[in-house]
Amino acid sequence: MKINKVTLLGHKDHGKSTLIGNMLITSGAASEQRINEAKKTSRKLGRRFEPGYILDSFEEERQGEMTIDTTRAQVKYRDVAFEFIDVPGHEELIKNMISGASYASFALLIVSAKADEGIRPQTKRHIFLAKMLGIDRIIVAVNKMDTIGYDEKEFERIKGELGEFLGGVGIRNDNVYFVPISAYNAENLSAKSPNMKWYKGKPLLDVMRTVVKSNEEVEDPHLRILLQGTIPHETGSMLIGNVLSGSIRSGQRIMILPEGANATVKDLFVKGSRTKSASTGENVAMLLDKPISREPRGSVIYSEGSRQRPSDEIKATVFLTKEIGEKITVRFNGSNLQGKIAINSLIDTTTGSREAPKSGNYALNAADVNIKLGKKIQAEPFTDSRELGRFVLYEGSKFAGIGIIK
Amino acid sequence: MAENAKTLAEALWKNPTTKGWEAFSGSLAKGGIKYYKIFYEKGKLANKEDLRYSYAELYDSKEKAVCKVPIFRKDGAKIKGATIYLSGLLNINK
Amino acid sequence: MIQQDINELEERSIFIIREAKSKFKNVAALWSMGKDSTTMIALARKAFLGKVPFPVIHIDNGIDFPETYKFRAELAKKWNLDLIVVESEIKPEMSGFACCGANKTVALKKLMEERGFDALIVSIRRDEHGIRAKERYVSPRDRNFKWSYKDQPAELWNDYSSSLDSKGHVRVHPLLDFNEIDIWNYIKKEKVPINPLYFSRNGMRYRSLGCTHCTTAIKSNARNVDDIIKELGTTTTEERAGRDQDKEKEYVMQKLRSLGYM
Repeated sequence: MKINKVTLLGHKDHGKSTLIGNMLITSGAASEQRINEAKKTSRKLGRRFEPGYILDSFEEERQGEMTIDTTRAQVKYRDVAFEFIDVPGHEELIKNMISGASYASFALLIVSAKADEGIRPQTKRHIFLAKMLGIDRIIVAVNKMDTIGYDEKEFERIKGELGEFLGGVGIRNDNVYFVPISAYNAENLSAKSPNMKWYKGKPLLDVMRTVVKSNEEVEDPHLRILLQGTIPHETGSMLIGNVLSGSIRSGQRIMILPEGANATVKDLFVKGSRTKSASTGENVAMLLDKPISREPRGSVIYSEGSRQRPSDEIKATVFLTKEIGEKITVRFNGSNLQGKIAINSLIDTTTGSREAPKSGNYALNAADVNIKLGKKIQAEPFTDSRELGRFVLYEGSKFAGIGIIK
Repeated sequence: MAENAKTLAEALWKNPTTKGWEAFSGSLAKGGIKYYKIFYEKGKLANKEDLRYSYAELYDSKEKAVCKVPIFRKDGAKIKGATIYLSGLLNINK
Repeated sequence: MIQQDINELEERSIFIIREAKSKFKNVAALWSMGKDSTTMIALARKAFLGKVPFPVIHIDNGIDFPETYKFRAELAKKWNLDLIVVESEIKPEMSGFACCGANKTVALKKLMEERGFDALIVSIRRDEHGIRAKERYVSPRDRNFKWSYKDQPAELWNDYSSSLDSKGHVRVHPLLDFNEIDIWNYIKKEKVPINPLYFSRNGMRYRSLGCTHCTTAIKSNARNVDDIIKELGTTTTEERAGRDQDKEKEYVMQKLRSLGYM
């Protein structure tokens, strides 16, 4: 069955691991062995039973009560399945958060309703990042309702405050869902809680189910094949690549960019067997009627006559994880490219507003930028092609951030 | 044939050389041996010397025990695992 | 156990295996003759139109199951594999596993140095063990094989990390997203040849295969691939329950891993 990937956002101690732990227990996905281990660890640490220990697999995590890195948990609920990508709430581990969020189709944000916990700037930064990575549907679980006497007014206040911010970063109102829960007591997870009769919506897992059920992705019919390289074959050197969108058939006329060469597909293979056509998501091997002039890695195949043009300049929104200079490395679909970056405006990730660049450290900031590359690449706006519209920034060998092409 | 296997097994215990093992291995099928089970008598294996105290029991097609063989071989002065020479037999799982 | 979309998993694995071959100069794969690494080789055959373009390594402690050796010889011949067998020692080491653990790592390290492999395909899965859930598709190791799990590279979309310190290597994990049951669904779909120890005899079978010393059989009547898929659909025990090493210390796996044990 299809697994819907969900990225978990939220501050440390707001109850992410507890929530997932209880979901794993209620859905029967956690083995007895895991539950017993978690019970044993809880006892050893002199604490009450903590369902979150089912997830946290490293000694340091259990003792420090934190999640160090992205981890994986799968939950089946009625006719749908979810995979939670738990992400750390720690500031310094933001690159791991990005790694986890980059695979998800929607976000589950956990915010504690407990006095003094509430929404943190860092939580807002995570939402901003998730949106930047293409996640535009968010379910907000307002947790620890039991600690504030299941107060509807406080729930509404948090809803109002977050709703405004979400609108500010461009997440549409009708794509946001709020559910009041108690992760520890498993209230409003799969069954409605008698303590929150004022809440008229569905329990959390049902809301999640509704969100994935309503998600009908429209397939882009335009052919795009991202090339990985070549493999030797008895009939000659074959191009290998992944069909990002559209479909291709044997005999079709194609164009390769940035080369700009046209060719005909002479022979086509999918999963090791000769085939007449291949479609989105498939990995192909193909023989063209003529050799291509340069290393194919990172090149893109379109249909002949496509109006796509390569460029050595990109306009993008970036999120920086460290301070950078002008010289940067852009990692784009398997290639490392040297470039010069110029910052046009800074974006406040906690409000979504833009301002003129100022001197100083841009770490953990977002910005609109221009990047001039040493050679032409075949890219597209993120809104047209996710795969061809995003890149990773490095400075030397250090991860420096991510970018989305405009 | 089972008698033959027993004799070969005894020879193997005395001198489990590569050559001895090869000879034994070749006679397995002809000897009517089909199953094996491995015993680590000392419990946890601490080092390769402990292999001397471990053994495999071999059985015929009716799952009747035929003989016990070592699971090590001598490679010069070195002791090495030798279960590869039981290739073709099946774990009896009993 | 959730059964995932086999086609989707297959395409992702093929992409990652091809990516490893395109990106790195000298690729090799570990082959234990178990269900996972054999499935990986079946996927590599698909990725490269029938011929596996890299050597497969068996780190042999000399006390694997006889069936495993037979299976190795037969499949290496049938699939025309470039098989490298390296002997590992049986001797005491820190974690208390004389048969496997660090002793296999030492043998592998020596081979990697001799042959200069810069990428090693390892068939681990995220659902195997808590600690493996932390893994990336491509995971760098330093020259001492150390995995610094606290400072892993960012891995976004298809940009798999490749920044290496000199003499280090990367581990490539094309089966990371497979669940145990997905492996069996794939074996069924593709008729992947499989070690007979996985099937029940006298009411017992091996669910997870190590060497003769550190693996025990579990109670099971699953006599074929279909039976196994049915059995896994209802089981509540962990896959590696029959592995002695996991019963040892609670966090020993983590320690072995950070030393480079896979």
